[in-house]
Amino acid sequence: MDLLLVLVVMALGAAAGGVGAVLGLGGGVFLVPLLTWLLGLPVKQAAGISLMTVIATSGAVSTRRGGSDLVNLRLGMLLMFCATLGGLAGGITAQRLSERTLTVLFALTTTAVCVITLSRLDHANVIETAGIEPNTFGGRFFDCDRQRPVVYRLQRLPVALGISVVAGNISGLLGVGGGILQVPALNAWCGIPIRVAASTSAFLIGITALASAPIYYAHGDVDAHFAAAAVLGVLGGSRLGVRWSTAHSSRHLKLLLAVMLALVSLLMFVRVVLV
Amino acid sequence: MADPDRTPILDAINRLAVLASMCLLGLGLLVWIAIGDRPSRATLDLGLVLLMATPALRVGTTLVVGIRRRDALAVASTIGVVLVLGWTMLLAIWH
Repeated sequence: MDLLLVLVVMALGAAAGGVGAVLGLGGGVFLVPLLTWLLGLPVKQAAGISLMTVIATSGAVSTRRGGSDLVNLRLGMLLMFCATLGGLAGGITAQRLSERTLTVLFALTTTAVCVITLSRLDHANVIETAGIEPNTFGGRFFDCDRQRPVVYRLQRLPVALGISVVAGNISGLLGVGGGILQVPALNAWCGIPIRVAASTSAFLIGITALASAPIYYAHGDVDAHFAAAAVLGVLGGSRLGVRWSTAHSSRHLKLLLAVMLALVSLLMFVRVVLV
Repeated sequence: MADPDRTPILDAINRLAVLASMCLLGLGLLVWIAIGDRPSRATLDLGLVLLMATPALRVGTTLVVGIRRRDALAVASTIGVVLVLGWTMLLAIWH
């Protein structure tokens, strides 16, 4: 094991964590392509390391944001069950899929999420009319863009549950935080504002990752040195990212997410051709 | 009446667990640089296992919040999560 290599992993973790925190993701969606492209790690090993960083980021963000009105705990508890079921299934099936199949799945996932995000760029999902109450899984929060408290309502609960199963499955299969799918899909199809979706997702993704991370660990797909370096790097980067996130509008965050995902898709499609 | 969403002791344990796992991982890397691979292995593995335990602590917190709110749906779904995570652990240990 080379010290320089471990430092590179730490730097890659910091970059992935910074961008991930800005967008309410665990950073795994950026870390997996970086580890596979720059260090030549197999997707399975990169996914194992990435799941550890997802757990760490979620833990750090949750301890900071605990009690915040942006985390919808009631909705989160329900979605958590579906996501962990999907995560467990993903962790088991990932051990049986080829490198090429996992890379194709990664590229297709990021492309799909990029399209979903771009299709609802200007949709805020908040109700500004006074006197409206949130529904069972809705809520209120202080909207930084509007500089006043706003209300939102959950729409299409079955869709939200289905999204969570798929997001958990993708998390287990590809080692990314389920937030990559959950955040844009809850925002686009279920009426959840992007900041609420991102904060609730940040709380959930660590638990979703736990449904598959021990399976990767038991199969020897988590290199302890790389994982430690990546975790510390991601945490450092995410601290900076959270500060940047609150200073920018939702539209800017969505645009940045779409651009980054398009880039990741391109990288992974090229890797499919090369592998 | 106390806020059912406030769980200061559990929150403190969560924070402590995250911090302790980070310290162990950092220490493991320092030991690896200073002494070598074998002595660092146990520290790093302990750090990773503690890190994996932190989301489980958060599930415990949400269970407590659900019970305090008397929210049957939230409690049921959190118990479901506990069962799924238990299954994962069994699979990992079995392997």
